[in-house]
Amino acid sequence: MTTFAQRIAAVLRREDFVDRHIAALRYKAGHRNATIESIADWEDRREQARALKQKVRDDHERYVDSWIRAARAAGTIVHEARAAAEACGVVLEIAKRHGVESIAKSKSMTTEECELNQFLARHGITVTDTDLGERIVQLFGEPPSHLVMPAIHRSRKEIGELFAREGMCDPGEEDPTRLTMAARRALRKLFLSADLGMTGGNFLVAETGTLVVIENEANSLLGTSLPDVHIAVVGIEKIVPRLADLATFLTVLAPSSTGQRLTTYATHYTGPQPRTPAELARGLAPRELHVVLLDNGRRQLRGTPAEEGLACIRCGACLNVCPVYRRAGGHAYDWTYMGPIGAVLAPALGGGKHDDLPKASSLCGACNDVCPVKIDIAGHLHEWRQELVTRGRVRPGLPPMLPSLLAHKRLWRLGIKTAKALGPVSGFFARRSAALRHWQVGGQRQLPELPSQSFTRWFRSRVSAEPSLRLERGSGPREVKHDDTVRPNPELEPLFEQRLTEAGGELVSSARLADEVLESTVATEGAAHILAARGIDRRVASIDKHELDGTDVLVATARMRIAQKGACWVDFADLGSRAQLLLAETLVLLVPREAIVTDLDEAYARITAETLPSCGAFVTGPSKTADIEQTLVFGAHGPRRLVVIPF
Amino acid sequence: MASRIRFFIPCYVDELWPQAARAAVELAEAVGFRVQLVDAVCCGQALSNAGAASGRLEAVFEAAAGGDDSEIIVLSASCTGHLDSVRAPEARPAVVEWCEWFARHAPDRFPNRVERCVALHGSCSALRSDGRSSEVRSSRGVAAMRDLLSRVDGLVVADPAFASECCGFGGSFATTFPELSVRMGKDKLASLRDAGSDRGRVDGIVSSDCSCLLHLRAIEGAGLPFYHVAEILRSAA
Repeated sequence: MTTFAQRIAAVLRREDFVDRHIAALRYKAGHRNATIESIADWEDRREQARALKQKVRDDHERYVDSWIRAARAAGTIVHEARAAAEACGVVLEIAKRHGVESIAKSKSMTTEECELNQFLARHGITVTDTDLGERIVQLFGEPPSHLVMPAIHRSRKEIGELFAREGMCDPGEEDPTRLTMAARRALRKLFLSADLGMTGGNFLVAETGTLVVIENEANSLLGTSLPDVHIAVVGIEKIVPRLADLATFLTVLAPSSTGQRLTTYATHYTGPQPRTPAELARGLAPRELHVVLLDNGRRQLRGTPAEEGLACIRCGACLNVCPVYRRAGGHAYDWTYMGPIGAVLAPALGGGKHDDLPKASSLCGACNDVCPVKIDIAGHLHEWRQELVTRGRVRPGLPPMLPSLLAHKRLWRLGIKTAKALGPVSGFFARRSAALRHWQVGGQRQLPELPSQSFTRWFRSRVSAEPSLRLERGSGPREVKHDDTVRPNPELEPLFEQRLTEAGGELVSSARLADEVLESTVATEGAAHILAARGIDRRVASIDKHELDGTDVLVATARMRIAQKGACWVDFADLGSRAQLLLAETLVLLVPREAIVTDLDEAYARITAETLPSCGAFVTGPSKTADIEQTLVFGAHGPRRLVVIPF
Repeated sequence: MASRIRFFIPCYVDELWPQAARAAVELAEAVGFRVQLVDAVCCGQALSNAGAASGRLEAVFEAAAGGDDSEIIVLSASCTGHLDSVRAPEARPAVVEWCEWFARHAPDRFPNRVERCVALHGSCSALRSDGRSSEVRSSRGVAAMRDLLSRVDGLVVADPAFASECCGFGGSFATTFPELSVRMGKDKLASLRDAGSDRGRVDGIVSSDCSCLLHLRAIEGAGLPFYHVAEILRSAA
């Protein structure tokens, strides 16, 4: 078994990789900073998010029970898994019962933690990871190297070679857009044929039994909408108290993660997708939504330095700013959860194999600065160090004499004096002392010279008490101005347009509606009615996934717009089938003009526990990915264009 | 009658960067303070970060500092940060980082011009001295450095890109992961060197933490002189 020290030393010899990795993460962190600078209540939101997570931890079992009760009431089948093996067993049992051969799985760190893919493969079930980054690392046969950007360690050249080997593109292809489209083509076939969709989960709402999944590509939505069975494997720590609390969590998550204001899709699943009357008439069995609540050691974190780590919402911000992660890459951690937060969890959940990770930090605190739920990551790494040394699991790695020398000024002076006297032979010590040898790193860092006179000796040796220098005292510190001005609420319409455009969407005034609604357009039933009232006759779209695949333009309806986020709330009850939202090249959303709110708090005042549909989503711009060298590509799996038309 | 002030000069500054402490004392005396030293070697951070926090060194520090409520000026943002983190919020005597203290008393303008362009290195402790998100906003510790340096005519202070990225010292971190520590140092040096590109060539690096500077100075090809803020101010006095 290797140590982190050995692995990082090996990585650092690959200078090209390290250069590229640092640049990519600095770029990502820059996006985050730019976005949060414009969020006036950022610090309040972080504090709210922290407090909400704390509240749930303090009364954990009650929140788990209420989530389970509410989820079951909504028709979700809930399974509790104490360990990884149990979770794997549950999934296998469901898959077997439905005769499943192929699973479309979206990004999920819990399934990585359970090594579910490998387990199901041994039982003859193929699991295909459908997030572009996940698919890339799956084809490479390696684990993700980042919590939200699994393939950030791979270059476009490497990915092009991989796809060419897999027959997905021509040899020599390195263009991120064309590579993304190659993956889209291959995975679209899989979505249309998969028997079961799997996801992780970002939030579980105790109040309503809702499962919330956040994504950009639409692969989660495709995987959960086209097959009849959806299984989500979710850690028990993902519970939040109320639906309205999501306003806070969604506000802090995407900016921290990618610098977006909201991910393209924030989908709220409350119970399985209901059958249409036509489907019921054909005698089809009900669709199923299973949630596997995973403990796998989480309850045992209570009272350890990893406890607060349960608040983590897996945004990856601490990885992006960590100077160690920036240079190490995720694989150097050799564990499912990498970076600073991974190092906090490792001694508790890593089976004793990753006790060296809390030291893999200079304790600089950059992680604390950015954590959207204010986990004291550096503080917990510091606590682990004491705990692991106390328990004899790691050694402090200090010269044994050091504590005594530093505690006694006389001993310290004697030591320094000796070192100075030995100056001519200090080369001997420099070679013999491990610490001094390590300091020098084969000549890359010099040993400091010891000045002949220490400060204290100079201070004590002065004869005159009179200062040689005179200066006029000044008027005190100067004000350092922080821009804390609260900007007034901007006009909602221009704000919505600006935010939607930032997210890659387009706003069209209804006067131009006819131009957008092209010849090949089909519409959902609701949208067709609205168009008919304006003298535009459009065919009602099929609900069948195979017929919908390849549709040019589909017009659907959304319930409201959220100006600050550029988002539309889509109630899936308004769709003929979930697939209608996902399979057209261009999605047009008609939204009642007056239904516009400032931000998510107002949106959740309208989406209440009583009005919550079995599925609803905030849709913000077209499907997108930046999994190949951070190059933004629209149409990762879902619509390439999103047009919003207030009417 | 000069008023009395107490300084704590951390172990490595005392032995390895005495010129910074000397400058800090001379400046304090120049504005009318009589300096006393706290008779302790180390604040305890070195052991604590290595996982060997026994409280022993902190107890030695408290014993040396105790019996007197007057604040203690520490010539290191990092040691100040450690003492702050292990002491109760209202503990007496208070500890204050030297730049933050001197900004209260320093002259509004220093008498001598210093025609230089220095890159400002905010140590992690200075950057995060008040719990603000340093990625976006300047902290108290960095603001104090900037304030002091702005009182020197002719001096250009340049900010490096990626200022919030650690230089790679980190106490025992530097010898636990030596290659990584040096790589971080080299990257930091590159940003510092490039800092003045729009306002002149950087000809020195300045910080309120000599520990970062000891590490950066030692890296092969460092190539620039390194100063504690007090040394620059002393040259302007």
